[in-house]
Amino acid sequence: MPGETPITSLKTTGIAVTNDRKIIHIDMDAFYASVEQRDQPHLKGKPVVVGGSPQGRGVVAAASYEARAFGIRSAMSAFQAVRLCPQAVFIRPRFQAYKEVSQQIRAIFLNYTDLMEPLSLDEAYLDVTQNKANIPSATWVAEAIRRDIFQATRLTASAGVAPNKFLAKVASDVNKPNGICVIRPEEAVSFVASLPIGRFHGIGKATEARMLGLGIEHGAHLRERSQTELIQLFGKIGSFYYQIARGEDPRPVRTDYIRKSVSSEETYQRDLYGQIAIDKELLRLSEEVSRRLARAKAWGKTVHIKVRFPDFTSVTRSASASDHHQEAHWLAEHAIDMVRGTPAYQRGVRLLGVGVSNLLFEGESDHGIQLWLPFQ
Amino acid sequence: MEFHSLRAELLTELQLMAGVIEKKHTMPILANILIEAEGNQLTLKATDLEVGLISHCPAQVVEAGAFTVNAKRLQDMLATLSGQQVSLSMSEGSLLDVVSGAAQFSIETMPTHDFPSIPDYDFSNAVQLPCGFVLECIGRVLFSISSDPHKYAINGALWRLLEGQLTMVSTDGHRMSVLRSQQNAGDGDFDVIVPRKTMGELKKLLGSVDSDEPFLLAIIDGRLFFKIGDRVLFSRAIDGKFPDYEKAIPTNNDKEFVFERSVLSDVMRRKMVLSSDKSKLVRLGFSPNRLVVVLRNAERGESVDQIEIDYQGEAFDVGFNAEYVLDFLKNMSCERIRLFLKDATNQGLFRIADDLDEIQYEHVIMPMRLLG
Repeated sequence: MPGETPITSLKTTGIAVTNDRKIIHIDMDAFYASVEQRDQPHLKGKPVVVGGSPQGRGVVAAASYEARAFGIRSAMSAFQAVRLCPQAVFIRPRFQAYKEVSQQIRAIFLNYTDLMEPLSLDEAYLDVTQNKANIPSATWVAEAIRRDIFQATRLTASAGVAPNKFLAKVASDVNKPNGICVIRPEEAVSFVASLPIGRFHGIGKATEARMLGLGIEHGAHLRERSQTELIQLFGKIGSFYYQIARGEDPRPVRTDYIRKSVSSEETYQRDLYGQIAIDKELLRLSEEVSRRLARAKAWGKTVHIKVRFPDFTSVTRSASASDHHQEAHWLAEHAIDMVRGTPAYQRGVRLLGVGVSNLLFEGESDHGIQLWLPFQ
Repeated sequence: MEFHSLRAELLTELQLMAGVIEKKHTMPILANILIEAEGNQLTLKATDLEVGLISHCPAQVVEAGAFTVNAKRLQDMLATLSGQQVSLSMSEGSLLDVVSGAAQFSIETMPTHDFPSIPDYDFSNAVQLPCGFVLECIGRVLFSISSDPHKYAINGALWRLLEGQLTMVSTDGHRMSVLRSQQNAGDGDFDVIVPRKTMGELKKLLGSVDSDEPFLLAIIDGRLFFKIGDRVLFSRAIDGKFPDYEKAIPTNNDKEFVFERSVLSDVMRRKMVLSSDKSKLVRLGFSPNRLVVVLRNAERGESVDQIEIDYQGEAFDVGFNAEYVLDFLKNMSCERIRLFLKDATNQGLFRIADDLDEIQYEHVIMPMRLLG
């Protein structure tokens, strides 16, 4: 299935970070699947899986709570999902419908605060330290938002309320679905101490395994380690672990997301073989990326490719040009050039991806886009 | 095989050959030079299969013969020796002895039959131009040839002789140099794309001879042969379709400005101090009597220059890549240049204000679209 994999980064807005902030993390419950159950009432109460076709090679994008009971999780292959729950209803995603709901809920957030940081279509951080409704309690704000969302969309959301983003994110997961969890500043340390390491947002599977190997099972264990030790063990991110082990997270809620790259990739129903078929796909993916760049009024300088071979091994490559471009043929030229340097034509491919980074945006006054001579 | 020659003379030839020698060493023999000793001179040959050079050097040949040896190593040896004369000899086996004064080298050679064959040439129907003139022309177009391997057809300069008019054009898609000159060059119209590397080698060779010397060009079976003094450079011509350059020369740029080349050049050099890979944009803000030139780099700072100009029209801004403007200014030798503009998104046209009648030269630079 086609996937958009934007990498997003943040830019400082100059909002002062104080110690007594009130942050809410809102997360829609089984979002894509819930939208489908809402729009197709006969699906209510049934295990619903939104994603690629189970006959093909797609992955699960979302699973309803009924499907989760069978062990189905997002990012799992659709093939595996059907084995876990043969009676599940498989549905292809309708992104347009999800985007519409997303716009509705973001409009609701903005009724309460302008300090809103969307993480995806169905998730956002809100800083409600000061809110437009002048509600003194962040918990009340969170409940009001959940109520508004349900009234507007007939969908449920869960909320985490805490003094920072890290705690709010962890909290929103605690009483899911359709729940709320509040962590008061004075509870932060003890909450984190008992939290299993795998539940820390920002600690992935691989890091979790390493930490368990080191005897770090809970937040309390993490807290015993010095900052130097954590940096030595895990690199730069170690100082973030040091902070979150203390329930601290100074990152502000940032409203001005900057897209850092645009890419498009596709997993094929059947492996592609040969230069003609592969180059044709690279051109098609390049055209898609070019369209997205144009829509974002952005120009890129570095082209990336991703190739996954039939045996599931992957390679990535990137190359930079001397100036910024948006044109599909430019992307395709570089993509084909790089793919030619891999064994893709001989071995065949299961997945191809084309992306571009090092972006320039409309409005960046220090920069310009070099125009081309009109030879035609 | 044995000969004696003047070290400095042989070294000069080897230095000129160095540019032709294949740098990537895909085939070891291409890193070599072929030297044939016969009569009272040496014939030196080097080629990377695309471009090649044949030159000569006087020598006292004791025993005629030929050998091929790593060009860089031979050049380095001659450069480190101190005697005025150098003697090269091969007796048996594959070792070449190089002797100068009390110093001696013995180096490995390779069989001469491995050396690529050099194509035959003949200058009886050649086009003839003065060396000094060709050098001037190349200097004005070489810098804007594309080096993007994806744009094969513009990896060289177009040379066109049509009804007595010689035209040379180069472009990288963002900028373009167009040079025209009426020349009594002889018969035989042609239209060829001369590779960038060949242009560079020609410039070196032309710089080493008198400007009145004749420059000959013969085109035989898609190959180009250039005779400069006693040396012959040959090259493959690029087999591609050069863009329709006439279409990209603007015809209705109604705003004209005259600048001292050195003044504008100093301004652009100041911009380059703060420019980075990501920001080479200079903003030219034209307003009545005044031009403000700004480069802003969020990480490094800002450079602002003001220039008095004779302009009474409406204020407008146009952005250019500072490097492109500077490249143009650097490669010209005139006192003043004229700039013709239309607006912020159409081609800027540069001309030489005090050009020789012999050459009409135009340089076109596409602006950078301003984002904010």
